[in-house]
Amino acid sequence: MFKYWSVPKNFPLLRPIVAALLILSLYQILVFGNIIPSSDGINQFQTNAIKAERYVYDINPELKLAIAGSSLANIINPNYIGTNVANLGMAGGSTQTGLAIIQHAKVKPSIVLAEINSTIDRKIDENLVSTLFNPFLSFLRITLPIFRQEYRPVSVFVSALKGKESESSLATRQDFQDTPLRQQEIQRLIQENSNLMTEDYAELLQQQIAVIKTQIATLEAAGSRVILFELPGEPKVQETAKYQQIHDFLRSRFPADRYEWLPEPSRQDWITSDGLHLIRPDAKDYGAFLREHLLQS
Amino acid sequence: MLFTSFEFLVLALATFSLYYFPPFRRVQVPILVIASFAFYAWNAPSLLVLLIVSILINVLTSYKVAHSTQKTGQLFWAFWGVFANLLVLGLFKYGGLFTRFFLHLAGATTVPEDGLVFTLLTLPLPIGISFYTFQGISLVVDVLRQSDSETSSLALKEKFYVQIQPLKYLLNTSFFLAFFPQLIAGPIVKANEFFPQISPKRFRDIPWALVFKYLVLGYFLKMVVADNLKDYTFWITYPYYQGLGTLTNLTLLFGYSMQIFADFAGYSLIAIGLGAAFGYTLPQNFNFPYISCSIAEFWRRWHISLSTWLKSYLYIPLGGNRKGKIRTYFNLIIVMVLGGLWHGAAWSYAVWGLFHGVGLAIERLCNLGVQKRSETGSHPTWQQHIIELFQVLSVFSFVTFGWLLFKLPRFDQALDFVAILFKNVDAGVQLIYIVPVLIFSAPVLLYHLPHYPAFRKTSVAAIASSKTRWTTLAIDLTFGLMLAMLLLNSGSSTAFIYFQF
Repeated sequence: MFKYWSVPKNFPLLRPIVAALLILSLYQILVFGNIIPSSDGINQFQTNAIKAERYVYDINPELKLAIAGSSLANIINPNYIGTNVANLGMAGGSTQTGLAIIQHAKVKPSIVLAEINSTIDRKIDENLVSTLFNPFLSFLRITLPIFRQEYRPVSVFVSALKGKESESSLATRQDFQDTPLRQQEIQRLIQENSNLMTEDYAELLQQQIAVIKTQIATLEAAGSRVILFELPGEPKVQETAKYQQIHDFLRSRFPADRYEWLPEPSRQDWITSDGLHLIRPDAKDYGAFLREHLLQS
Repeated sequence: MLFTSFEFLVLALATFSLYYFPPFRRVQVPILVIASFAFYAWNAPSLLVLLIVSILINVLTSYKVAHSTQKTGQLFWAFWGVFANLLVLGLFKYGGLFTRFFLHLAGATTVPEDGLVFTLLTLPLPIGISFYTFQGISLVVDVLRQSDSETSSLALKEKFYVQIQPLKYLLNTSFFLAFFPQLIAGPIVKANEFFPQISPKRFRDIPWALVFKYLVLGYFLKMVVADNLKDYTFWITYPYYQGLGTLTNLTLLFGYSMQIFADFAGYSLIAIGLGAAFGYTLPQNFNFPYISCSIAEFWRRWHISLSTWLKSYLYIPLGGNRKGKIRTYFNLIIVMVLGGLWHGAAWSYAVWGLFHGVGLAIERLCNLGVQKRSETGSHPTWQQHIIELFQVLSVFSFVTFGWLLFKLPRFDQALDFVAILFKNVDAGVQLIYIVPVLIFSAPVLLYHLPHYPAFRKTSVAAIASSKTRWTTLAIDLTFGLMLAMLLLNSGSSTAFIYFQF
């Protein structure tokens, strides 16, 4: 029977497999030697995954603050707030994913900032979370970093082509003021939010609120202080009926006598790039506001 | 169950081990049938019932066709076999579409919350239904056609459909319809090509080189090319494309064209590779479609098993090109519209089919599609090369533009996308989308390039087909690189685009 199962002598798989192993080894050597730089991601999905992998695999025992949120929170560079800060704002994702990552990671920060707004209607990215904590993949990615998202050859290549953005080269508030595309997006959002939320949508939010409440309770039990916050946005959009209704709904489900809410900044003239996301200079200002409130006390 | 999932790896390896275990050689077919049912039932066990019902319909009707001695009896059972297959397909795939259409015609403003209408609107779409019902029809029709064809076909009929015990026929037909590599998204296999292959298989007969080549190439196209491209082509969904410049939107549409090829050709290659690992030859489904010089040639190279099916079981029975020019154009258009609807239960797919059907008819009218390419005879001139390049680019642009209706199935959104192309000319160029799309599209272009007519006669093609030490090394390195990229640069796993059909 053994003979029956034996592999033919001129097995055609061996040479390509050896070639693949040589390519992988060479790539790993170049990564270990810091000749291949890491990438911050070249698309939304990858940027999320890289942030999550760095949070889970590059353990920082000094971590003070972690932000869990959506793409709205994602715009806040942790450096705007201070050192030992991590941002798990997930572009196209939700607070629940960030909270789940913090919940399962080895080290918990002393403060967890959780973004609470309509983006919580997006559920946990189960695929991302389960892959991050898969024992085999975790071991592989910690031992051989080439298997992490930040070392994907195409991403490394594209990031190298792109180069680093310097803060001084970023657009200013004046650049954004009245661009037609921005106005068009704001009008679209105003239109979209003119009708009140449906019963199905309220039910969906209710389900996700229950998920977040469980996550908060777990993190609090582990010793973290969880603070809820809502990012400032485009005043015209925030005045719409649906926005206001969701705002009140969420505030009533996370009452201030049980959940700690971050006070709103006194400034009112925030600018967004598309009616939702703060422009970079304003995100920097909001980061300074967070530093002032959370890390300097 | 996805070919790219861990569960599939476990199922395939377990099935493979049992299948080639010598004491189990007599039960190889039942092993594959059970594995195929497990594969199908993994995500929605209840839908397995429909697959089994479909199998039983085809077993009964094709068996009766094979065993009826009278022509009327054969026709009777063949009619009911085809009708039942179409009924299953029509009910589960198009029930909702036509119910909504009739509700709209009747001016209904509200949708009932129970009853027949509600049931029709909420019927689930069983995965792969379009594929297995088409295979069922091919079985019934092939058995019928063999009854009045030449001696060799009659012998085939006798051997595989008549002189066989009912239980074995049930098993073989179940295997033919449910064989897991091609169950969900093809290639659509013809009964006459599959049944003669059913026999005990030996481990030592596995064509390893072919299996390896097809699996590595297939997984590479799916996981490295298509799964990465989808993270960019996502941005041409509504309303995101509205904020992008014309060049960016056009590049993303080009990327979607590459993605849909890599996704579906990747699936077909994996299916063929898996089939070969179990000793079965599945038909080729793609033959470098993006180098086509005409729409007719494109359809001879794209989803070949569907095109062949439509030709054999629809176009020719409708009269093909034997009943005059007008009838030919009509047949082309009707076949393409139905082929379009086969892809999805939405009117935009019918429009997509109409788009191709009209293209084919115009091409035929202008005598463009029937021209032979300059691949034989004397060496083509540079003028011929330029004309051919123009034709290839024109056909590619036509086909790519048609894919827009796959990406934006809502007709108003597809039209809006076109309007935005004209509107956002000055909206800038978003290189963060364009550069990765071009990089991930490059393998598809490189895959087609050696088969492009102008290169076929060059030394490049000669080198590629030679068996020197250097070419062997280059091929090994290419496959090694693809394997390494599979481990290093696979995109996030998603269902194959054609699963929805």
